Amino acid sequence: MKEQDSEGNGFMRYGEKRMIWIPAVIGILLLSIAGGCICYSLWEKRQGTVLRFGMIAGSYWDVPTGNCYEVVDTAIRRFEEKHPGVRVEYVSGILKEDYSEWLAEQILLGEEPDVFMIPAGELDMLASLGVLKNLESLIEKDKEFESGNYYPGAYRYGNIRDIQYALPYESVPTLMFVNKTLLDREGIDMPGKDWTWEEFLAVSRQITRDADGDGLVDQFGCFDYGWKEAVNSNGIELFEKNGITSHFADSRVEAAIRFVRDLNEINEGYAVSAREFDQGKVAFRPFAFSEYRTYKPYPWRIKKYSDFEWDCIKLPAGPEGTGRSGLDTLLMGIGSRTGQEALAWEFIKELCYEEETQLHLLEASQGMPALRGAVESPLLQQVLGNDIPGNNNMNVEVIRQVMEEAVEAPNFRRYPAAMNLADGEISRMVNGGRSIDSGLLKLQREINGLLRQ
Amino acid sequence: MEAMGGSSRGMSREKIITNLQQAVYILNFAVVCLVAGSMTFSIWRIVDAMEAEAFLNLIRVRPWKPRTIWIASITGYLCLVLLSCLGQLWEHKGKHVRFFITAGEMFLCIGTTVALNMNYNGLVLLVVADLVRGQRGSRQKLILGIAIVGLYTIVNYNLTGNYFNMIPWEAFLTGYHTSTQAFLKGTLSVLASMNLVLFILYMVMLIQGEYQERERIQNLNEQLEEANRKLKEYAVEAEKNAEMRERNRLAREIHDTLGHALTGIVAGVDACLTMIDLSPEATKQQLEKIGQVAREGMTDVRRSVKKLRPDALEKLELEEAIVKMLRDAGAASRAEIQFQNQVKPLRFHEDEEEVIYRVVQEATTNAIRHGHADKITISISKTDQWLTIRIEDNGIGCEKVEEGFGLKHMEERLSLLEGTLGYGSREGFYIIARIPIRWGEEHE
Repeated sequence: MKEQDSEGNGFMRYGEKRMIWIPAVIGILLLSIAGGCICYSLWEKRQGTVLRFGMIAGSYWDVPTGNCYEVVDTAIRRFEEKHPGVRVEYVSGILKEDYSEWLAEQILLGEEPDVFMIPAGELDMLASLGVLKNLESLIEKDKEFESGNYYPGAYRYGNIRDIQYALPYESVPTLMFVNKTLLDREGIDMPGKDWTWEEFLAVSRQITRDADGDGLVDQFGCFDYGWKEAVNSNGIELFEKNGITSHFADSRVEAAIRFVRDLNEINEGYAVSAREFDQGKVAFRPFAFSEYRTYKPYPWRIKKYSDFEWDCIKLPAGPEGTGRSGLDTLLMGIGSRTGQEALAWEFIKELCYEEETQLHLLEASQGMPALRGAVESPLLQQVLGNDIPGNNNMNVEVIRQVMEEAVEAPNFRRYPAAMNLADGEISRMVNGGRSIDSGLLKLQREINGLLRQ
Repeated sequence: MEAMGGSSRGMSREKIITNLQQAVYILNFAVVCLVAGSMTFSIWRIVDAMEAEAFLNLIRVRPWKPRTIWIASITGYLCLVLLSCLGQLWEHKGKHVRFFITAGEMFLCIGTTVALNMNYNGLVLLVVADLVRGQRGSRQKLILGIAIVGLYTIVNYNLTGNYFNMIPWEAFLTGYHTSTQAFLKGTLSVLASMNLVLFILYMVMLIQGEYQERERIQNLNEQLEEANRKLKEYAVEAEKNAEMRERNRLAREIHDTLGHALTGIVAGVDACLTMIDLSPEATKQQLEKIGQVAREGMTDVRRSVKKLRPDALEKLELEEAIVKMLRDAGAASRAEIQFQNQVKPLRFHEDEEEVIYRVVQEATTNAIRHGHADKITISISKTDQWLTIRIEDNGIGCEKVEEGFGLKHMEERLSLLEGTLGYGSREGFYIIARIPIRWGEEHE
């Protein structure tokens, strides 16, 4: 027994000699790695407190714009004054079409900004990748912050599966463009605030005719009014918030599609184009508020739609809806890897929750502030009035009502794919190629299947 | 010679194991560098190629920073190897050290594998090899089995990668040209296979070594048993020889002394029978001579008998002999033996001394061997012409006296001197021997 022990130790010593160099080499390597990391963090610390902001240059709303940095620069200046020693940096000149790629690159390199604009439709992807910070705890801790101050559609757009990941910065609702000159010529009154599908249909029928007598129809009721607008204005949401159930078979959807089909039938198969609209031959067109803001005032009003008078009103209400419109919202979020959570929260609030910034948006941007307080200020009347000198301008109450009722597009990941599928099927139904009620049932089944994949 | 051969085989085996281990360390280092490096470079390439958005749409979780992937993987792996080496150096530092090292290895193995996005699970083999080498006993084998299965489950991308939100290597490879992708995949698969081969070799060597060790021990055991058996045979033979020698000596002794004397006596008595009527005077002289021969014979017989006495008694006084014998017995058995002698001087006839010595010896041996006593009290006292020997112990005693305890023998010896023997159990075992001493009679 004893002999065996000593023999075992002999083995050990033999093994030890050969193994000792490995720990030594590894120890040196580990020490150098640790040294490198410490040096790097020290260097980083000397850079001071910097908050990085990711923003889109130019207009988010695809309309010409002046100084796109004006609102943000002012907000940054205010923020830096409130927080001495903190610097906010952003990379300028990243256009909307490049922004997604730029942001993705920053994310991959681990250098995404602390606060950044979220490209349209990418909220779900960014949230599920873990790029975005869950704002719930920050919202809960912040006594000043009241989510009810936002328009519900705008605020909900930043919410994924009951978690708020982003705050709305500015929104753009869809309105109805009305060619007033055309209506006047036909002796038709401007539709009222609560106009309906019936009125819309009646006016369209009245307008659609051969005006110059060359045997061809050259005046049209509407352009670009699709089933999505009809569904929204008939008070139904196509998808559950969870993104795995759809309601295409609902009777309200069916009614909306029948309505669109009726509307299309007026044109007797003629496909109205944007050119006819620009020439002033079309009475109605769904229109983004940003375009209204852009093309209504000088100088842009001269460039476009200069041959006729026009204005915007609410969308017509369906029999079971209120004529609410879709709402497009620009969101901002906080990077989950930010080292300055509190500062980032303060900054995102400076942009999205500070009334001063939001009021500034009214003046300097083409969107609507997402904050109710800013929209309800007298400034709105003033701004819209300044834009349109001498005209009976748009009713401020209407725009407030539209904002209040507007419904956001779903933001789950498969929404674009589902809508693609629905678009194809429904346009076939609208063109009469397929029965509506059985087609919708089938479509709902297909889309639910797609959503559950 | 055989043992030497086994030992030198063991040395070379140990050397092979060490080399294998180093090969495994280096190979795994290469794999970790390959996987972590390809992930890191892939991210940079994807950014350079402006395919970041497409890549993000392909994966389900944001990858770590490229630098972090690299540093975390390499650091985790180096720490793992460090612990593995320390585990070998500190193999004999006790259970707790081994436990902490094993736990640390498992943690680092999982950590590094996660840093590699579970795109390489060969590190488990490294930890398993260490676990197998360090395992002792069957309960540990069970724990080992559970640990291995658990580890493998945790670091298997197909099983748990989905729950841990890991990014498959294939996604990272999209950053490379197709031919580079194929090359990287091929290299990884070759390295992983080599790792597996090395692991199997290592295990074979380890298990073979264990088997050889066991065989060697079994061999040694057999040799030991053989030697034991031979020793027993020798002992029996030696005893027989001694007995034979003793018998021969006795025969010679009887022949030389008693035979000689008796022959003389018989011849003398015959002469006396012839002479007694002719010359009573001469007969008388003759008888005196015969008496002389008989006495001389008796002396010779006594001398012979003396030679048969126990060594100690032959050389020492009875008391010293008893004390020496008790000391020896006490030392051999760690029993505490008390000897109280109230009879001074303790000197008797030889036959009486021998019986006393034997009784004390036998009783003490019984107390130790059968009674498992650790305390024995012996007292010798006298009342009138009776000498009383009491031997008491605190052993287990016995309900029923069995043969072979030597009691019968003692009784026989005592009865030759008209003595008595009493015994029984009472908090151990006691023996009382009484001998009627021939006090005052002259003894040599």
